[in-house]
Amino acid sequence: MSPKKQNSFSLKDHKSDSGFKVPEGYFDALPGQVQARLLEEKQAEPKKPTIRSLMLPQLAAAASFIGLMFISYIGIKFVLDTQEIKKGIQQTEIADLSDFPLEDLDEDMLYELYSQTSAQESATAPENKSFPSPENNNTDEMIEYLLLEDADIEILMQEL
Amino acid sequence: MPKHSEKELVNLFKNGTNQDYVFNILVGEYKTRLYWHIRKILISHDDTDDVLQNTFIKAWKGLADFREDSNLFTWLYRIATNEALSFLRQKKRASFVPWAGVEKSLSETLVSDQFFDGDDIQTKLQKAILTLPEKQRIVFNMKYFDEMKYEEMEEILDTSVGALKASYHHAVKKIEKYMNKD
Repeated sequence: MSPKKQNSFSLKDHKSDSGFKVPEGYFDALPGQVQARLLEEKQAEPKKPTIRSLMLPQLAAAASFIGLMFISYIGIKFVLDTQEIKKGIQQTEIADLSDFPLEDLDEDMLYELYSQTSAQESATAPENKSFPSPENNNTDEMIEYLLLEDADIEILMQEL
Repeated sequence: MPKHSEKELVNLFKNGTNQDYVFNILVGEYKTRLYWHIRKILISHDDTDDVLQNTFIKAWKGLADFREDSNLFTWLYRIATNEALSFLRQKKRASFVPWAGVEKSLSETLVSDQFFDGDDIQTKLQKAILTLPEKQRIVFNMKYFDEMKYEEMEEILDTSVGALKASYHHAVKKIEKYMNKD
């Protein structure tokens, strides 16, 4: 056998350990370290979702929708009411004036209209004693009215 | 501590009565063998410690679904191997010069690691092993240092016995060639 062959390295002849070492007490401490890691993992695991947490987004969306509908309803109602009022005012004005052509109106007609309105108002509210209209020139009525108003009786007699 | 079989431990864990206690027994039973398996892949003690703990965490999470068609030991070995290889790939991606390979980096770690005190032959042997391709390196370590049967390796590495034998044979040739240099 040649000297080179004799000195050649063979794995069969050199069965040895790997040469690696571990820190002292490493294997004894390892189970404790693994348990500590497991505890961390368990705590970090996400909790199982409850029905409430699952339903929360849908409930929030429903509540938002209802809120939006309510606000829209209020807004639309306000706009419609305003339009109704405006429309009512316009119709009343038109109705009052529609009986009389505007070009035919003069001072006498306006006075007459006013007198009619006053008479209607006093008829609808008899408890409110108003000043007698010039057309109802009734003396007794005048006296009664003045007495109610605490007019001085002597001045009243002189005037009459 | 009473001695339990693998099957008993798995069933006790699945029952869920005292999982922490059962798992502690499992860690105690397999910690040393798994540690040395990972250490020979990663070289650094600190990296090995991280990966070993991750292996046990994964085992905890998967043990409830563990199917008993394979044995617990090979299942744990498979998790450990996958975790170690994933760690190496992450290291490769994070490296500034990924094309240089992790082999050089592992060789440097070997020299600087305070928990490696091998003699000249052991150091040279480890450097020779680091020149092997990843899979071949694992096969060599499992056969040469752990003296594992090819059938067990087949289950762990999901490679046929024939391919494993060929891989080991090539690895031995390469290492002896490296060792006989100079």
